[in-house]
Amino acid sequence: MIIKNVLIISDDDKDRLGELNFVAKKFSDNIDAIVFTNKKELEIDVKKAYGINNIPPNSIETILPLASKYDVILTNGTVGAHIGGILTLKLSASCVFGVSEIKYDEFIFSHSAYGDKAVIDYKPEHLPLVLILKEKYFEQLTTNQLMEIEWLECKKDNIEIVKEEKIEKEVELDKAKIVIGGGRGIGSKEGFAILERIAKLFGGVVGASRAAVDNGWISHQYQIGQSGAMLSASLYFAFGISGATQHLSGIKNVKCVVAINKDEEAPIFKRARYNIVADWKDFAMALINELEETNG
Amino acid sequence: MINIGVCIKAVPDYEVPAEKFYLQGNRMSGDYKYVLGLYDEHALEVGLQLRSKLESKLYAISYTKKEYVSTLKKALSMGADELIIIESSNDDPFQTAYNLANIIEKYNIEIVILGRVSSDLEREMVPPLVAGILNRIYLPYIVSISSESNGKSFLCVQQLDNKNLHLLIKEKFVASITDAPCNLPRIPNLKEIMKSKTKPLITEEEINFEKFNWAQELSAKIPKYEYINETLPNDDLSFTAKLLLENLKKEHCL
Repeated sequence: MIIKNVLIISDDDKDRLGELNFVAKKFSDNIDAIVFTNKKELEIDVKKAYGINNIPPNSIETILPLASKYDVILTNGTVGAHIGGILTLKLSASCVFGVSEIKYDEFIFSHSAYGDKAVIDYKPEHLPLVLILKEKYFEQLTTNQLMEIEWLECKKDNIEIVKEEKIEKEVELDKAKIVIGGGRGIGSKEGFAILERIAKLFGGVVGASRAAVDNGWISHQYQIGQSGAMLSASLYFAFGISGATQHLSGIKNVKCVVAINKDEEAPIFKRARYNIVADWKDFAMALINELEETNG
Repeated sequence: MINIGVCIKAVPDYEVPAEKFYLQGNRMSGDYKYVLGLYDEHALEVGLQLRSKLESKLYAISYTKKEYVSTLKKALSMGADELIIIESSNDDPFQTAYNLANIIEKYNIEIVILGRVSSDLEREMVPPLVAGILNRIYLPYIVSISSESNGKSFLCVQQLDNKNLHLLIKEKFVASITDAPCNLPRIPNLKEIMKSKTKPLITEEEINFEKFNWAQELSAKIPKYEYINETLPNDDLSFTAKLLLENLKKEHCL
C-alpha cells in the first residue's frame, strides 16, 4: 500500500510524541500532527503541527474533517483511547488497536493479548488506517526541531471541566531505574517498610503486586502490572512475588530481575535472571547488612 | 427512572500461570477457570454506586458464550437488577459492539459503563466503538460517576497521567472504567447471593451485522522469551547477598 501522508494525534507528552514520531517516519516523511496542548511550540519532526487547547471528547468534530485527508492516523495513550474508535467508525477506516510491534515491509501489525502471553498479527487491507500504539513498545524519535503551532478551535463544548486536580505522585514507577517489588509473601505493611530501606540504599523505589495492594499494605500508586505501572527499570527485585501473568506483563521490559521466594516452583523464577530460594525477610536483612557495609 | 447498563465479560482467571495456556487456533485455551473480568467488576461497582444515589435500574449485559453464563451471574449477586445475555462465540470487536449497542437502544439505557480492557483481548476497542455506534460521547479512564440534579447531568472523574479531571456532562454517554481504590469491587454477601437467584436472566438473539473490514487477523503465537537463569546458593544468605551485588555490578545493572 502506498502511504502518502501520516497524521499524529497526541497529547504533548514528550515520550508519547517521540514514539509516534518514530513510527510515523517509517511510513512517510509527509507527517502532520494534532496535539492537545497549551504550549506555544513543540519539539516534533513534522511538516505542520496543529494545536487544540481543549479535551479530546470536545474535539471530535474539529479533528474529523482534517483526519479524513490522511492515509494513516497514529495515536496512543489517553488521546488514542478517546478518539481511536470514533475515528475508525466515522472514517470507515481499517484499524489495529494496542499495536506492540510493526513489520513495516509486510504491513503487519502485532497486538499483545492475554496479558502479553500471546501475540496476534493483523494485516489491514485498506486505507485510511487508524493505529493506536501501545506505550513504551517503540523507540522514540528525538529532535531539536521546534514547531510553531497552528491553533484549531472546537465549535462546541459538550463537556465542561468543573475541576482539575493535580495528582502528586508519590512515586514514578515507570521511570525508576531500580525497583524493589513486594507481593503477597510480604504479609504486612511493616514488611514494606523493610523493602523501603532496601530501596533507599539502592537509590530506587518500592513497587508492589496487585495482591499486596488489594491487601491494603501499600497504596494503588505502587502497583506494577497490567492494571498498574509498566516498568522500564534496569533492575527489579521481586520479594515474595509468585509471578502471576498480569504482574509479569508489567516487568516485561526490565533488564534484570532478581526473584526471592520460598517456593522454588514460583513462576517468577522463569522470568528472573537471578533466583534466590529463601525466606524473603531473611534475604532482605542480609542484603541490607551487605549494602550498609558497602556504602560505609 | 434512569437505566444504567454495565457491559461484562468472562475472562481467563488472572492468577493462572502463563505455562497453563496454549493456543487453539488463534485463541488461548487451557486448563483454567473463567472469572468475571476484573475491570468489569470495577465497572459494576461504579454502576452500583451510581444506582444507590439515583432512582435507577442496573442491567448487566454480556455478549458471550453460553458456557460462561454461570460465571457472569456474579453480577447479579453483586447487585445488578437484571442480566441480559446475547449468546455468541464470536469475539469480533465490531460485532460485539454492534450487538451491545443494539441492546442498549432496545432497553433505553442512558448511562453505559464498560470495563477498560477485559472485554476484547485487551484491544480496548469495544467501549469506544459502542460509543461511536450510538453517537454518544466516550469517556475512558473514569473512576467514578455521580448524578447531579437528580439525573439531569452527571459528574465523571477521569484519571489521566498526573491529574484528575472532574467532567460535567448533560447528555447520554459511554464510559469505560479504570481501577481505583474508590471503585474497588464489593464482595457479594449471602443475602445478595440468595436474592440474585430470583433476579431476571434475559437471553437476547444475536444479530449478524454487516462485517466491518477493519483488518485481517493472520495468526497468533505465544512468544518465547529466553532468560538466562541462575539460582544463587542459599545456605549463607550474607554470602548470597554479596555474590548477587558483585554480579549485578559486573552486568552494569547497578
